Order: sequence, then structure tokens, then C-alpha cells
Amino acid sequence: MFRFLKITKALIVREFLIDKSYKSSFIFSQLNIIFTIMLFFFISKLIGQSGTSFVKGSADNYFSFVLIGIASSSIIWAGLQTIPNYIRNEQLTGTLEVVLASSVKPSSIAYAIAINTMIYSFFMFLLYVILGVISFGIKLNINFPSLLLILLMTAAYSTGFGLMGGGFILIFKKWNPISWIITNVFRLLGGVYFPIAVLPKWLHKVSDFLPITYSLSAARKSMFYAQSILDMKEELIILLIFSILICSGGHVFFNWSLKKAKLKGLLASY
Amino acid sequence: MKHAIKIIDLTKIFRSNGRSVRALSNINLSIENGQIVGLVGANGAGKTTLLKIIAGLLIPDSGSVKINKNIYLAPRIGWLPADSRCLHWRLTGLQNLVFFGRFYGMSEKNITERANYLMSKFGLENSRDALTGLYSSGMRQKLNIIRSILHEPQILLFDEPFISMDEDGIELTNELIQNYSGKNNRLVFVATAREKQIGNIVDRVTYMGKGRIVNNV
Repeated sequence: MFRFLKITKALIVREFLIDKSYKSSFIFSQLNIIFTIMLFFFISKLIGQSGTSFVKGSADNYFSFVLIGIASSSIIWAGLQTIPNYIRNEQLTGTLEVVLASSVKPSSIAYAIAINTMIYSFFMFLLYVILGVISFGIKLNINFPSLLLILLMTAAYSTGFGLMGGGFILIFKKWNPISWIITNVFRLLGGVYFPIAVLPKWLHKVSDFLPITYSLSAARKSMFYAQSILDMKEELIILLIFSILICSGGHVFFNWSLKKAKLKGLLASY
Repeated sequence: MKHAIKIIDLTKIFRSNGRSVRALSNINLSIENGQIVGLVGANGAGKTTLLKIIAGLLIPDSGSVKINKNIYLAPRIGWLPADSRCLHWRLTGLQNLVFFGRFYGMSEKNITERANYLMSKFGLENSRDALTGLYSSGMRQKLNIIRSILHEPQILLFDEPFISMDEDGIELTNELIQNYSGKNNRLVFVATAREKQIGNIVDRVTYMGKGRIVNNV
């Protein structure tokens, strides 16, 4: 455990130092948040009251609905992409073999990266929410314990997807179908930008099998209507099952890919 | 003395696009504790493949590497690849060492002490706070060597450690290898295509060619 914390610290400090060394990129990536919020603020003006009827029960208006959708899904995109991106960067810098020769379990390294990501993505989530409240006047009524639990489970299953993506990068280098599929399907069917009710009925059934559907629905209920863990126990149990299944699957697939990469001699190549 | 590492019938074949290359064929080696082993052979002889299998970075098609558990209670490996890119170029020399030191589980105090001592020994004390991307290739190789011995591993695997080094650097590295092994009974492998570079520091030389051991001296 102590060693794991040291690795986590090493990665957090290193990422911070490297990010800091690319000052402009770091600042502009944070500015993206403001532009994204403004974009949807004006779209919500265009949609007006007609949007409100669609999001009834999830949020007070379309802008509040979409803001929490974007903020919560930012945790998913981070979990999905960080492990593959980390492995890809280590392949390109030539440090992957050195790190793997350090006798630390590769999955421990991956989980340390995931923690690093969670901290960063929770910060991004907060930034979205704070900007939404202060600058655009969205009204919140938060149940903090349920929100924290939802965000943690969301981070957990997205890390599972990230592990699967990392496995693909170990073998195929630039090709990560997991990230591509999850990003597109979740964006379209997960209820990030518009309520699922807008979709044709047959697509509702597909949405029911996506963990993001439950993450976003529960996040909105806990942030707008202060619903507690007990109020949302069904959604939270489904999220827990998704988290366990996807994390375990990701862990198994990552270890299998690593073994395959070591058999084929692919670790050093990029 | 009982062996420290025993390599038994090691074979490795790389397959790609329907072609296969036999990188190692039935390698058998038994190495005692405290030895410095030179692996000498031309490019493609199988030296790197052998070292990577010992480091656990490659899985052989058949055969095994057995590390004596009585001697190495916690076998820690120091790996120096032939690729000198294996540092974070956006970090300074010291920041690189601190990162890897934490990764190796060292205490902060130990990292700083070892890093400062080794950087001074290799003449890098004035470049500690310079970005590694600004180092010359010889300086980067020195930093890589420091990185690989920072945590005082029991087994050192050096793949072409003299790349880009000047004569002083080669001499310094050889001296370091000798002291590192001799005082502490540690095991060091040094793979090189140029036998001259390892001088007379090695206890034994294993000559490799086309994935086989051609001679053991």
C-alpha cells in the first residue's frame, strides 16, 4: 500500500511538472471549459421553454441539464483516455520498459494513473459546476454523499474501460477501439447533451444497457433534487454492478494484453 | 557457490507478417553471485533479447530464467536499455531521478542523497536543474546509468552502456560497474558489440552469435 502511494505521488508530481512546462497548452485547455459552457448557454437560449418540457424531472431547464451532463461525463472521458494516453506517451518517450522493469505490478501502475486522473477530473467537474453556478446562475440542491458515491462509481467503471483501452494500446499502439466506441455511443445515447426521451423508442433499450445513463440520471437527481443514496438505491446498485464487471473485465484484459505484448516483443515498439 | 541466475534452454522466436526470426536458441547459462558477465556479440546476436527476458520484459517461447531466492530475497533489477530516450525530457535531471526513485519505493531522503552523490560522481552536478532534453546524448546516457543504479538493485542489466560516451565516461562506467559488483556481491550483465569497451572488468565473457552462445570464457 505504501509503495502504491509512492507511485501515485510520483505520477501526480511528474504530470504536474510536465503540464506546467507546457504553460500555454495547460491554460488554453482550462479555457475550453468556459467556451463549452457559453456554447450550450446560447443553445439553451435558442431552445427556450420547449427544451424544459423534455428535461422535466431531470433538471429545471435545458442549460442546467446539459451542464451537469457535460461536467459528469468529463470524469468518464478522463477515465477512458488517461491510461491509454499514458501508455502511448511512455511508448513514445521510451520509458515504458524502464517503468515495467521496476518490479511494480503493471496493474498497480495503471490504478495509480487512474487515481491521478480522478483527482484531475474531479477538479474539472468542480470547475464546470462552480462556473455554472457563479456565472450562469444555475440552481443546485445537492446531496453530497450520494453525489460523491455516484462520481466514484463513475470514475471506477470508466477506469475499467481505460484499462481495456490501455490493453489495446499495448498491442496495437495507435488503435484504441474502446475509446472510440464508448465515446461515440455514450455521447449519442447516454443523455449527455439531450434527454434520452428524445431518442426513438428502440434506442431507449440500448441506453438502458449503458452505465453512463445511470451515472447522469443519478448525478442530476442528487444535484438538483438532493436525492439521497436510499432514494436512488436501484440506480446505484446498477452502477455498482457495472463498476465491478467493467473494472474486473478491464483488469483481466489489461493483464492479458501485457502478457501478449511481452510474448510478441511489442513493449518497446511504437 | 550456488548459482544466482540459472538460464535453462531459453528460446525466443519473433513472428511478424508471416515471417519468423529465431532470436535465441537453447541458451543455457549459470551465473554465480557477485559476477560481472560480459555479453559480447554483433548486432542481432540476441544480447538484448536475453537481457529483456531476464528483466521480465519479454516472455520466452520455451525455457526459463530462475533467480535464486536464497540469495535475492527481493530481486530488484536495474535495467539500462540501449535506447537513450528513456527519460522524461521535459523534466530536469534531478526531477527524473526523483520520479524514478519514488517509483522504486525509495525514501525522499535516500533519493536526494543518492541522486546528488551519483550526479557528482558522473560530473553532472552542474546540470541537475537543467532540462534533460537539453543534455547532450552522452550526458543523457550517464543520467540513465544513474537512474538504473539509484535504488541499488541486486541485478544490473546494462545494454550497450557506452553509447555516445567519451573515453572518460567509458572509464567511469567501468569503474562504477566494478565497484558496484565487487563490494556488494551483486550481479552485473554488460552487453556490448565492442569487447574492447569492457576492458578487463568482467569475470567472464559470453560470446553470442545468431541467438546462440558461441563461447564462454
